[in-house]
Amino acid sequence: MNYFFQWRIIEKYSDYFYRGFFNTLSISAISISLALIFGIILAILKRSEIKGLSWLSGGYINLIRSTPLLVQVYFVYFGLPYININISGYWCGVIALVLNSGAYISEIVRAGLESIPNGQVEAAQSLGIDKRQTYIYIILPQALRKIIPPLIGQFTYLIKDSSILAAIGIYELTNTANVVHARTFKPIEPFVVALLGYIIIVTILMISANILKKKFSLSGY
Amino acid sequence: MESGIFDRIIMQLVTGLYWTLCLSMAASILSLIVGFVAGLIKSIHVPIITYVVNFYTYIVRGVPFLLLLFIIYYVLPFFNIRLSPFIAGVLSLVIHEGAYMTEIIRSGIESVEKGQHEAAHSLGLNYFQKMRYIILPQAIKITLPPLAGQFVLLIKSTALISLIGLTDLTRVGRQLTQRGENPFLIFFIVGIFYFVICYPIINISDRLERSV
Amino acid sequence: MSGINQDIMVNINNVCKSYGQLEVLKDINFSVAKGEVVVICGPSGSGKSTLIRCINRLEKINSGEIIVDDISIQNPKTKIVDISKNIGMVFQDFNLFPHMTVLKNITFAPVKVKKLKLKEAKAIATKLLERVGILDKADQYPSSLSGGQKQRVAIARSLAMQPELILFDEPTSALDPEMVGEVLSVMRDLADDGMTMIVVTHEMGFAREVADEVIFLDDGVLIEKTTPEDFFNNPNHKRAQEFLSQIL
Ligand SMILES: Nc1ncnc2c1ncn2[C@@H]1O[C@H](COP(=O)(O)OP(=O)(O)O)[C@@H](O)[C@H]1O
Ligand SMILES: [Mg+2]
Repeated sequence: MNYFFQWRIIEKYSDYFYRGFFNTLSISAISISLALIFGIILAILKRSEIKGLSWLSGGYINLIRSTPLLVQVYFVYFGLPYININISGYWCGVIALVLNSGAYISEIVRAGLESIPNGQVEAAQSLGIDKRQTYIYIILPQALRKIIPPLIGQFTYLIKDSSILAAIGIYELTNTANVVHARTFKPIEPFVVALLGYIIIVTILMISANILKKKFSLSGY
Repeated sequence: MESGIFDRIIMQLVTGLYWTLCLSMAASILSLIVGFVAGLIKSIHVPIITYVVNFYTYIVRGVPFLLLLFIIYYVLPFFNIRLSPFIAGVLSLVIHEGAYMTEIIRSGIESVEKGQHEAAHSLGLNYFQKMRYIILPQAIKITLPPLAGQFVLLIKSTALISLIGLTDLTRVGRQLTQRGENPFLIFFIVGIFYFVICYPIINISDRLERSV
Repeated sequence: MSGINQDIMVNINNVCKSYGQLEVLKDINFSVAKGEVVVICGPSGSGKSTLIRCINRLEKINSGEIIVDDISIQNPKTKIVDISKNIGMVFQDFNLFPHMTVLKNITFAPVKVKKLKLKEAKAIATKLLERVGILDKADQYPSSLSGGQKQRVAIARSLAMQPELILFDEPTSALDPEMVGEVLSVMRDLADDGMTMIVVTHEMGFAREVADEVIFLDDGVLIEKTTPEDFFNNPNHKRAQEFLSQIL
C-alpha cells in the first residue's frame, strides 16, 4: 500500500465541500417540493375517469420508471439548448429530478389514496358531507399518514440521485469530491467526506421517518 | 453523404446495448447471490456476522451509487488493484444492489410465519431442509415482485458506468450527440432501448405484486 | 299497526336497478309509515343492501321513484345534502373515521353540514353517547373500541344529524356474538322512541319483537311484505319457508 493520507486537503477545500453540500441539499429540497406537486397531479390524472388522461399519466409513469435517470438528465440538459431554450445546468438538473421523482411520488400518492376504503366515502356521503370536504377532512388526513413515510424514503432516493447531476457538471457533493480528487490526486479523503455527508443526511431522514411513524401510531390509530 | 438513420444511429447503439446487457446480466446474477447469502445471515442473527452485514447494508443504502463507483474505480488503483471500467462497474453494482437484495431476501424470509419454522422444527427437519422445503418456497412468492423491481433499478444504474468510460448504450448515445446528432432524438431512442428491456420486468413485477 | 291515516315516510314505486346486465332489483313497491320499523330479510345476494342504498342514493336507480318525506330521491335536482340530512345510515362494518376521536366522529357532520356551533354539537354528542352507553369513550379513537362499541358510536353519529329515517345494513353481522345484544338493545330503544327505521338483518328475534313489518326479498323480487307474526308463523311462499327453515 502506498497511500499517504493528507487530511489537510479537506480543510483547504472546505469551501468547496460546503458549497457541494449546500447544493445537494438545495437541489434536493427544491426538487422534492416540486415533484410532490407534480406527483399529486399525475396521481389525480391517473385516477381520472377520463380514459385519455389516465392512459397518458400511466404511460408517462411507466416510461420514466423504465429509463435511467442519467438518460433523462441528458435528454433535458442537451435537448433544451438544441431547441434554443437556455437555462442553467442547475435548473436543468432540477427539471430532470422533478420529472423523474414525480412519477415515483405519484405511485406513492395513488397507493395512499387507494388504501382508504370506499366505506369512508360512503359514510361521509350518508352524513351529507360534500365531495370537497370529504377529500379534505376524511380522505387526505388518512392518506397522508400512509404517504409520509414512503415519501421520506423517496426523498432519500432523490438526494442520492442528485449525485447523477455530476455528469452535467453541477457542483453537488459527489462532483465536488471528484473535482478535489482530480486536483489533488487524493481520492480517499474527499470521497470519505462526501460519503459521510450523504450518510448524515440519509440517517437524519430515516430517524425522522421513524419518529413520524411512531407518532402516527401513538395518536390513536 | 448522409448514411441512413439505421446505420448511423441504431447500429451504433446496438454495440452499446451489448455492453449494457453484459453488465446487467453479470451484476444481476452476482448481486442475487450476495443478497441471498447476506439475507440468510441477517435472518438467523449470528452475533458478529449479522452485525457486519447490518453495517454493510446501512452504509451502502446511504451512499449514492455514483459515489460508490468513483470510490471503487479511483481508490483501488492506489492499492495496486487496477480494474477495467467493466469490472469496476460489475463490482460496484454487486456491492450496491447486493445490499438492497439482502434486505428484500431477509424480509421475505421473515415474512413467513413463525409457526412454519416451529412446525418444521417439530417435524425434525434440520436447518437446510427447513429452508429448502418449507421457508424458501413460501418466501419466494413475497420476494419476487420487489426483486424484479430491484433488477430494473440495477439495469438503469448501469447507465452510470458510462461516466467512467464504458461504451455502453448511454455512452454511445452521448458520443452520437457530440458528433452533432439531435440530442432529443438520440436520447429518446436510447430511452426506448432501455424501456424495451425494463418495462416487461416492471410489468411482471406489478402483476406479481397484485396477485400476492 | 299501520293505520290508513298514518303519514307516509317512505314511498317506493316500481323501482328497478341493474348493474350492467344483472337485474338486482325488479319492480319493487312498498311504503313505510312514520315511526314504523321495517325489517328486510332474504338470502345473500338478493338485493337487500342495494335496495336500502338506493333509498339514500348511495346507488342510483334505473327506473321508478323513491320519495322520502316528500323529497324525490331519484330527481337529479335533489341535493345529496338534503337527502343526507333526513336519512341516516348505519353500515355493517361501521365506517367510523379512524383519524377522529369518538366525539369528533359524532360532531363533525353537524358542524360541517348543519353548521351547528361546536359547543351545541358537543352537547348533542354527549347526550347521544350517554344514550348509547359509552360516554366514557368520548375522547378515544375508534381503534381502541370493541365492535359493539364502534357500532353504537356509528348509531350515535347518524342520530346526531337528527334524521327522520335511519337505514341499517346488517348492523350486527360483523360483530362477535356476545356484542350483538348491546347493539340490538340500542336499536330497540330507538324504535320505542318512534324513529322510523329500515333494517336489513338476519336477527329474527329482533324482527319478531320490534318490526312492524317484514319484507322478504328473493333474487331482486319483493316476495312478501307482512307482519312478523304472519311471516314467521305461516309464510306464503316456498322461498320464504326455505329461508326461514335455514336461518331459524
Ligand atoms: N357495485 C356492484 N356492481 C355489480 N354488481 C353488484 C354491485 N353491488 C352488488 N352487486 C350484485 O347485486 C346483487 C345484490 O347485491 P346486494 O344488494 O349486496 O345483496 P345482499 O345485500 O342482499 O346480499 C348481487 O348479485 C351482487 O353481486
Ligand atoms: Mg348486503
